[in-house]
Amino acid sequence: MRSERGRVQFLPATALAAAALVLVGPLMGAAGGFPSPTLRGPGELPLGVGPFSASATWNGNSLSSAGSPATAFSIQRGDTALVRFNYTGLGVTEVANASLKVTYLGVVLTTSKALAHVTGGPPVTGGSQINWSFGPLYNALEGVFQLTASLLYVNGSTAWSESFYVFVKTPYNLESGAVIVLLILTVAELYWGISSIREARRGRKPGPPASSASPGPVPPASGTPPATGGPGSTGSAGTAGGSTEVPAPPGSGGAGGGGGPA
Amino acid sequence: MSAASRAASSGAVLGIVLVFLMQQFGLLALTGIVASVLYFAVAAILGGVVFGVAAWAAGRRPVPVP
Repeated sequence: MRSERGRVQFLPATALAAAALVLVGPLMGAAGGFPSPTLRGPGELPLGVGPFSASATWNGNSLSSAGSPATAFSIQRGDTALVRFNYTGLGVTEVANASLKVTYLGVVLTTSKALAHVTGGPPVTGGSQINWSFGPLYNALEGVFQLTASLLYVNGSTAWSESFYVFVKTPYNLESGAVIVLLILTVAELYWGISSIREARRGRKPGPPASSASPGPVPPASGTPPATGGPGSTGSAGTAGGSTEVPAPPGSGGAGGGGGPA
Repeated sequence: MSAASRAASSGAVLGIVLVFLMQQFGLLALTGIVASVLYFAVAAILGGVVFGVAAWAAGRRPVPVP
């Protein structure tokens, strides 16, 4: 009965925590935590004249099709992805680089760059391509990563950028240890948390507190009146309760006997 | 260390690990440092409070002995 109650208490707690996390996510995303694909307008261009448009593909698929973690592109161990950039603009001749930036928890892990080239015009058209792979962190971190594809001007400012997501799959072996360790740690923390709750439940039981705590002084044996010890009582009732290490002096009541001189 | 505090610490660690795993498997999209710190802090506090209060309440309520 006790174990069932412990589970019943634990399950709502976990469900509450998960629900709160899921609910907080969209709020933070709406507050600007998650960047959306950005296309700079013509008025924001620091270089070039006229309208500017750009796009990029991941192995032939548009980046906009992986704009959320649920629709992320997947890539496996040893694979490389071909990211192609294309841009078109009037008078835009100074797009110098294409870059692909991997961010994780808001921190930039790696940045890959390639030179952009002009293919024709006017209007000026150009492009670039990057053969991208995850790199040495491949085996350590499986999961969804955010990538940002950008076209950069000569001075380093961004002409166009778009964010998308990639799900990196790793083999489940000893090398891909981080996620496996975290899964094991999750199970362990669940076990420790439930054990602590059960221990707290066992720590408070009904009944006299001294009866279940430790074998301390024992009440007098049956048949011996506790408070009626006369002057001649030798405390044998107290010593019979287990305190045999220190013999009671003659004429005094035992620890549990209560039969001192009246 | 009392059972309630142990349960609270387990809940805090569990919240952090769950946020990390949800981020890894695409259930959360933590793309900013501030958002990430907030998420981990909220998860740790929430898990600690939930588990700690559960253990504290379990310790206060006497168990009926048959």
